[in-house]
Amino acid sequence: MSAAEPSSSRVPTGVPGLDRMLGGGLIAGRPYLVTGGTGSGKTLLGITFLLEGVRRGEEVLLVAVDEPPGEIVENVRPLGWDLSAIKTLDANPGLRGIKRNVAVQEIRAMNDLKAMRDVATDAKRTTETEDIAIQGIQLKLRQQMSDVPFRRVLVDSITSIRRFAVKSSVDPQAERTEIQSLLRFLSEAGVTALITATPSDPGLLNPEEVLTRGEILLTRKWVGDRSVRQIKIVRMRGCAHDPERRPFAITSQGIALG
Amino acid sequence: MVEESRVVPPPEARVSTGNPSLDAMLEGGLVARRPYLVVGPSGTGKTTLAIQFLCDGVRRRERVLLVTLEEPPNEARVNHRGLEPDLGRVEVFDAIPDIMRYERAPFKDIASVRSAVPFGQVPFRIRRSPELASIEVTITALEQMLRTEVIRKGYTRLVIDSLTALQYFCMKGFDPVAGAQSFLRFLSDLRVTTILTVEAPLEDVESPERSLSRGEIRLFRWELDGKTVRAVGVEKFRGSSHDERLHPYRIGPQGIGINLEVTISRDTRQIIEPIVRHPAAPAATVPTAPFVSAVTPLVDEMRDLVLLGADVAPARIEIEAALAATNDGRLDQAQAHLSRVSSLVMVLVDQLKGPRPVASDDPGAAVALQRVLARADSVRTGVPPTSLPPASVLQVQLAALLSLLPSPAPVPVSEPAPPPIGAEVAFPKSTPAPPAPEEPRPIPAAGRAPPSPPMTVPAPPSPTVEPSSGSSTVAATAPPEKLAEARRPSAARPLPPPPKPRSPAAGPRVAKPLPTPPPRPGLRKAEPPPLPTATIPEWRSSPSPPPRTPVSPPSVIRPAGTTPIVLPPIPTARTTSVPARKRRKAGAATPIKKTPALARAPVPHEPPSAVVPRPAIVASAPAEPAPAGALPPVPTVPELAPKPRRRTSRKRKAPPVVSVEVEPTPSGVFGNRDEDPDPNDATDPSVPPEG
Repeated sequence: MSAAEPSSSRVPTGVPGLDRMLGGGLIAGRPYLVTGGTGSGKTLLGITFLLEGVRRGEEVLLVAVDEPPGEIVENVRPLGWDLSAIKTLDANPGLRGIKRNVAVQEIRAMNDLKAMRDVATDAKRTTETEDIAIQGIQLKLRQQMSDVPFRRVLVDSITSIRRFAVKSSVDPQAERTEIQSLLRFLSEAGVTALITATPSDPGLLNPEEVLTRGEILLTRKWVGDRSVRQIKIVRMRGCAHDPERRPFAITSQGIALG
Repeated sequence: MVEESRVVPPPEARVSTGNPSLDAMLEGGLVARRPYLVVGPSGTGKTTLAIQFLCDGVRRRERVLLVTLEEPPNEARVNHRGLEPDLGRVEVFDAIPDIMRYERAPFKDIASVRSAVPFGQVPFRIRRSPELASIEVTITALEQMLRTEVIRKGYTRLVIDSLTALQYFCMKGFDPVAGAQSFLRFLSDLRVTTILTVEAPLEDVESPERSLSRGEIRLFRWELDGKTVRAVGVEKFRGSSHDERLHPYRIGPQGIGINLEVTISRDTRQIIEPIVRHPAAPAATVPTAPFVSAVTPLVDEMRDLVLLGADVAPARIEIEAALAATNDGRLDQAQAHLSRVSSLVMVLVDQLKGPRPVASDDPGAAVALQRVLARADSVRTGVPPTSLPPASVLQVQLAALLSLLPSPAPVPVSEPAPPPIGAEVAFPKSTPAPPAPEEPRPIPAAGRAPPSPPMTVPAPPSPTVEPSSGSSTVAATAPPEKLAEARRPSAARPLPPPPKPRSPAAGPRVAKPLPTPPPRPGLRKAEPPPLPTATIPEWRSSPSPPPRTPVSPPSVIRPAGTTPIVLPPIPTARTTSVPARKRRKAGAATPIKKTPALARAPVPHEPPSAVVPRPAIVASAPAEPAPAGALPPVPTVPELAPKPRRRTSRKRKAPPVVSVEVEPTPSGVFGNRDEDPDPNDATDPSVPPEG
């Protein structure tokens, strides 16, 4: 019955308006889902989240599946952001081209994290594609966690991970278990994680929707010739939050909200 | 009791969901002892709703269990901190499997590694998965764990959060639908009111397992004008009419707040003009069920086990530890120690089951054995929920309980050698319970003679108890519940019915008590207590086996509990203070305890325990004698009848709960009650005291 404060510490997202909607930020040590269509700003929000950690002297990690890390660096250049302090794990099977055909786990183990500054901005050739397994990512993270205590992790995106992983695990149960395992692992490591996903069929139940502790939805609509972006906290366990859909914009400063 | 209830279906007992508005939609609450589904997409408050349900049980002093497969307990605790302090007493079983898939670690059965703990003891940090071993959670292991825990701890409310996770992660190799179906069936058999949460996709698709439940509460979430709207509807509720409309709700720190004034269209999801103002949740008419001290059942068990000569030394150590913890104000630890005592008792009972020679020799022991076995059998079908009384009361109760047990070194009771021998023998022979019982039996032998007469009596007593409520059978099974109810009404209930049965039975009963006393003295003290024990057993058995009836003496005790009547015989030993009984009777809480006690009420022990509680007993005894006529209790009778079962009482909403707590508060009373309760219980049914 002791005080409940300890685990309620909040993690600022780097977007002050969003922190206000959340009543202070995300609850530390839990995984959250960021959903939205392509171009809705998921990755940008995630990078903002990581940079806020860097600003606070935390160790942060980007698990990049969708976009090669090099492209991310390019993409944020107009914003003048320095991503060099962000560690990245390139989990895209296509970028693993030079590796031999080895067991997935081993490949993961060999794929070292790199600081963004070391990422070549020129895309690598893909000679082979291999399945990635979530457990491989998890294993890699586990190895790194012992050296570097990451506080923030961005997984971009779980949808892609599943798409690749599905090939290796025909069994949907195994896939669910792996996602559960990864999220559990992140929680136990005390990591506050953002996991991006593209909206799924509303008639389907994805494990990450069940297992994450909250969900932030980004939408983009066209009104005339202008795109209107909106952000909404769909659900958030354990904290009072703003139930409204709020407009935001992507400016030269990044995400501008409220 | 269960059997009886089947025979004569009482008005369906309802269990509050902990949410008055939802209770109103359900027109009174959930029907007890059935599994229900709470279905909805993530973020709709399923877990919150379920935890509210559990917290309501805590307020009613029930023991409740949350089996979590989804939300780690530490997070659940933080997320629902608005529900403290009740939340702190909700027990939670972390059934989240350890899945570090890259580790090829040996799997362990979850039941062997983890156990339920109160939320109050859940650390704020997430549990770390062990590196070297993985806990695999399988549906079979979970069922086994639930079965054991429900019996051992007497959980009356259960939440599985969530069934979906169970299907996802714990049913490897099973068809998820078939697995869910068999699990729901298992829960039905468990006879515990259960809520299972089910994750649903945003756009609902009917899933087969939903057709299997007895009721389904649906939670919806959608967006209306950019705002999240949540609504709740009762989709299905077998056995009751219900509000079929959708009502919006909000999730707040205190749980789910439903607005019954507003209805939302299921088609358009727009607000429909309020059609008819929904009546506010009906005020709870049924008084809250009083809670039974966790010590009470142990008193009966210990008396019988000592009588049977079982090795209670380990139990004594635990009880002493519990007392020490109580003195230090660590009630959680005290509860843990008491739980261990319960499990020790189950082990001892299992040992007793083997050899049944006991019955042959000593009638008293035979009866005690019967009682013990009947109790073990009945645990599963429903034992009144227990909880810890305030520390001050607990201290008294534990001290009284300890007084029942032979001191460690001097195994045998200090008193008369003959009876003690039996006891002593028993101690050494944990397994050989039979022999020990035999010894005691001889003593009871004297009692045997009486038993035969009591046999006739038995029928009457049951009527006395039950008449008010209904059939005699009901009384047998329902006694605890009824008792509890009766208690509330206090003395009034039994009046009408008791008189009739009692008058006839009274004579026999009196006779019985007399005979029994002799044996008891032999056991421990020359006092009447022994007799009562013998009689008591019968009473208990009476519900199931008639033979116990001879025990009628206990019945006498009951009367006392019911109403303060003066019974000459009992008093001999205890004639100390009548007032105490009166108090008990008066106190609603007391009656409650008594009820459970009745079944078990080992009169013999009481005498020994009398040291502390005795005063109360004495008082009760005198009262009992007088009540022999059962007249005094009569007034209560009417109430008894209306109040069908324990559950009903429990089911009542918060208000009743509050009252319940109040009752228990009288610590002093409780202390007496604990020990006395048994006698009282006994008295109620068989008011006709030995006198």
